[in-house]
Amino acid sequence: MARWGMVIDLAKCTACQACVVACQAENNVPCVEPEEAERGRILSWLAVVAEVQGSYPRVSMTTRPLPCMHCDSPPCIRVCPVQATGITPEGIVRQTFARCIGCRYCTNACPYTRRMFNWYRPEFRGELQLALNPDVTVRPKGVVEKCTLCHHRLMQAKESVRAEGRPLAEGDYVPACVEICPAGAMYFGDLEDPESRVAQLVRSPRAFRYLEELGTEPKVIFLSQGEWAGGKQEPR
Amino acid sequence: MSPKPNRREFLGIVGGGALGVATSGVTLKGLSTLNAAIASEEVHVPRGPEAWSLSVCSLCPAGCGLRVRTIGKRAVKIQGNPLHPVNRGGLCPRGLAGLQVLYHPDRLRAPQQNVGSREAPRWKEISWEEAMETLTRHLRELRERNQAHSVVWVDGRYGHLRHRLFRKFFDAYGSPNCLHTGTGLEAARAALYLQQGATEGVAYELEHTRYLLSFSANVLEGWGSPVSNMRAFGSWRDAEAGRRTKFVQIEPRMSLTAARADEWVALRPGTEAALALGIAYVLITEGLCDTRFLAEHTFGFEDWRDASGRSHMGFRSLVLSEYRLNQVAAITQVPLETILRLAREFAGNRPALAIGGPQCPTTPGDVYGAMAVHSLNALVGSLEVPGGALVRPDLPQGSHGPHPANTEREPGGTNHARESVIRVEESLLPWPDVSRLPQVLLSRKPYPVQAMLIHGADPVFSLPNGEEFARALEAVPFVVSFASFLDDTAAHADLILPDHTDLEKWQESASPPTFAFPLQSISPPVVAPVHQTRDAAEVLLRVARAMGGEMAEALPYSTAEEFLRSQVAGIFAAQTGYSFSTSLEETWNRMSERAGWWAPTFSSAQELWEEIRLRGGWWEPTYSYGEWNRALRTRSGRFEFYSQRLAEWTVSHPEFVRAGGFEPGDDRLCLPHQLRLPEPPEGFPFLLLPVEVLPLAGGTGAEIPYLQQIAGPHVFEHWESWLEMNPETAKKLGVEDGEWIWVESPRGRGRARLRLFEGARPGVVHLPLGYGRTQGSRWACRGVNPLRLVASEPYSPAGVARALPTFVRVYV
Repeated sequence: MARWGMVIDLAKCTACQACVVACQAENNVPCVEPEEAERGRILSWLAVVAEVQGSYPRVSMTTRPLPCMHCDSPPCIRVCPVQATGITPEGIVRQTFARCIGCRYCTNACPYTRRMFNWYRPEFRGELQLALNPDVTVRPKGVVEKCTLCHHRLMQAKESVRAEGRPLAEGDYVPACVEICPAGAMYFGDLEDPESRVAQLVRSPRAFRYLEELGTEPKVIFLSQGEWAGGKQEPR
Repeated sequence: MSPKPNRREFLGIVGGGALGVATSGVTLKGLSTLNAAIASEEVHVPRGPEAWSLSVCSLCPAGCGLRVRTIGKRAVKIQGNPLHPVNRGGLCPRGLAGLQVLYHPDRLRAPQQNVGSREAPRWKEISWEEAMETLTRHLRELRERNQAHSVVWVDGRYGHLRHRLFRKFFDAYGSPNCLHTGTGLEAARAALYLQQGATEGVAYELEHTRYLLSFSANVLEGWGSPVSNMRAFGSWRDAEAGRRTKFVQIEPRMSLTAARADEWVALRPGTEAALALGIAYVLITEGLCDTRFLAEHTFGFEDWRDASGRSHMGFRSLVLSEYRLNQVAAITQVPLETILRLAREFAGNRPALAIGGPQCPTTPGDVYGAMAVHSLNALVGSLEVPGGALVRPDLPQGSHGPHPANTEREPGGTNHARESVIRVEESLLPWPDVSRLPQVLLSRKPYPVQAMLIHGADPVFSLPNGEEFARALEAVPFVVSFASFLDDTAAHADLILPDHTDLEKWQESASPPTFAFPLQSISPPVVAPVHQTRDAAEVLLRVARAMGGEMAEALPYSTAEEFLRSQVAGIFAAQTGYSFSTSLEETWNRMSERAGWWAPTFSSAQELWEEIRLRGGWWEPTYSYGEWNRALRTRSGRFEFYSQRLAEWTVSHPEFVRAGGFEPGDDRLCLPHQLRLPEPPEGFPFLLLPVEVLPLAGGTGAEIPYLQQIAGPHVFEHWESWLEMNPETAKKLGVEDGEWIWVESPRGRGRARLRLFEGARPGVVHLPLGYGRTQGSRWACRGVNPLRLVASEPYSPAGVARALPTFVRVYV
């Protein structure tokens, strides 16, 4: 059984936010009106979060793409009173929209703030709805939504490899954010398979998990920035 | 295209009696009350077969290759074309948002005629027949009255073959006025022209450079070719390469590019030239220059004597006398040790590159600054080497002719009765500057303009002298716009002939700015037009046909496709290059070409056309380094630290000399130097620096919700202009984060939300570009346009209007 995970190399990330828009377009995430955006009601399954430290001119800013961490021990599913959220055998933290009662316990429980509540009926004005992806349902008002690791792509990949009579190979299933990254900073694959790219990268000394001390066991692993080593060889 | 009936309509169609059998509606309603929301949603689910087609993005000059997913007749997702050499499957957020342009609810749906006045336009939807009749009639009448030369075409679209078509049209028609708005890299292009004599524009092989010194070039935020820069950035930091390229960003503000760089060097605004010359000082005094390159390929490094025996100051003397380290540290406010270290690192990690300044169509930086930066490349011998600064080669000659951007000086055709309305002969650089149009239109000199056709440009919004442009348009009797959205310029038109958006037409683009390889992408339309729009190229082809005679003979094509096919035949005739291929094939092709082999996969123009359809385009992946007669075309045939073109020009332009505060004959006028810094006028204490953010790069894209949502992640801002200010400055003023605040310059004022940002320099405030449209879509008309606040030079030696340092005051 695969255990899907993602590796994000912060050294390569340019903070361009292509992943953010790719996710939004792939998953039919509506754009809320400006007034609602101001109230913090933007829906973004994946956001690039910036953090500024220091004061001018000794300032630094870290930027980090933040999708759902698909924790192995997710705090969000423990608080759901109706079992609308859970973890699949392949490690994807799922959300059953039709079962969600909109209590928002999970949005509060998620330490990564990667769960979004639909305050409104989704609006795709005029012709904009023609661009909707038919593989993903639009979530109704009043439910919580989140990153599904483009689960529909997993389903499609499984179907097509079944038709070809072969097992799932690396690269058959890739979420929209990873696929589009212009700098090649995002990797995706099976963490259980020791030969997979992600499994190799996870063994890097630069690898860390975000807020790991909470015991969430995230399956999104970051690689730290690193530094320029005077033009000499850098350790792998 | 008629949408499929939605659920509600469907229930209406089958009627009340059939409700019981419409089980989906009933079961969904039974699940929970929340699912009533699903039952009532009106989302149209597309039906039909899935397909993937190629296209090209034209939201910036880079022209990345797209791969578009369609279901039935609808485009539902944009991804990158993995074979396209510019983006190799990646895309920036702008490219991804293309579907929101295609399906934007506020697009113009049909041709519009202004039935009101210019001041108070009233738009009436008209048929294409009527619109074409009006356009053809006007153009025909002007030509019959011998006024053909007085028609001006202003283009802001990138692409290459379409320009060629437009140029062919106006050549046949008899107008020399085929103008193009800038890309924002004019200062670097000017430096290349003045120092190397090449007009093609500079290219940088970023991927192979080992050390990058960027002087305010927003490398990750829209400069050059954004996606190929990002690819290069990724490759610099690829752990498997084992070696990391150092990227140093020198900039007054900590931009996103500066934050992502290995080092950010904060300098005083406008002193990039001094810092570059300070680095040159260290290179010269410590003997870190490439002496062989200096001896063989440069001019004006040492002091020299001209033919008349007069001695002239060389670059070395200027730097040693006026840019000593402590002087430079005082001007730039960069610590002396930092300058010393940067210079040593720059010389010690070759190939090293210096690039700059910012790319921003409105604020292209100063030419002397760009010359100072480019001089660093010459000092360490980074010209014409892998990973260095190159001269963009043209597409093969004899097929298309040179890139239109490079031919402004050539007469272009034989049947022009008159000279161009913007006389390039008078300017330092051989390309016409659209921002000079207002002056030309209002003075009616050299002749009055009778008609202006504007395609893909919005000069009223995007030029620093936009308001003047709007006033000047009043003087033009017939103004036609090809805008897809009602924009600030189209609002002054008599007729709007809405153009297709990218996915609805035959798309094409040439190699982007700063990209070193000739390239031509071509892709057919992905979807049928959503509205009653037409490709501007086909509109002109129809006009040519309707006018008949030599016009019809010059443009014997009935569709854009036919024209593009004829051009591909030209590419084939040049017998060079390959169709787009994988990186592996690219490497193989390069290796075999260096060994003298050319093994294309096509053997006829037809086969090339088919391969282009399949793969997205054609390109020439091998650059010939060190073709000195191509790369160095100055009078001396060398890289000129001392520009002889500038020397010749300053003699005939004493006003330019005086404006710079020099005596005529001062050698520093021809050498890179630091311009004087302006003093804040009484009552305006803060320097306003407009900034470019990637989502709204080039000042465009504000109509796209996806991009509005992600415009300012570093200050948690979206949908609105924000004013960036250092928290210390705010404390002194007694203003707080999130407050609405007025920004006032001597020219105007606007209101924006204050955002405190530690990356903003004390005493400097920033406003993002791209906001503050007055016309157009519901989402674009928000915020402040900083260009309405800044002062500008009507035209600068860089060849485009330049926003000048502007001081403002801020208050609640």
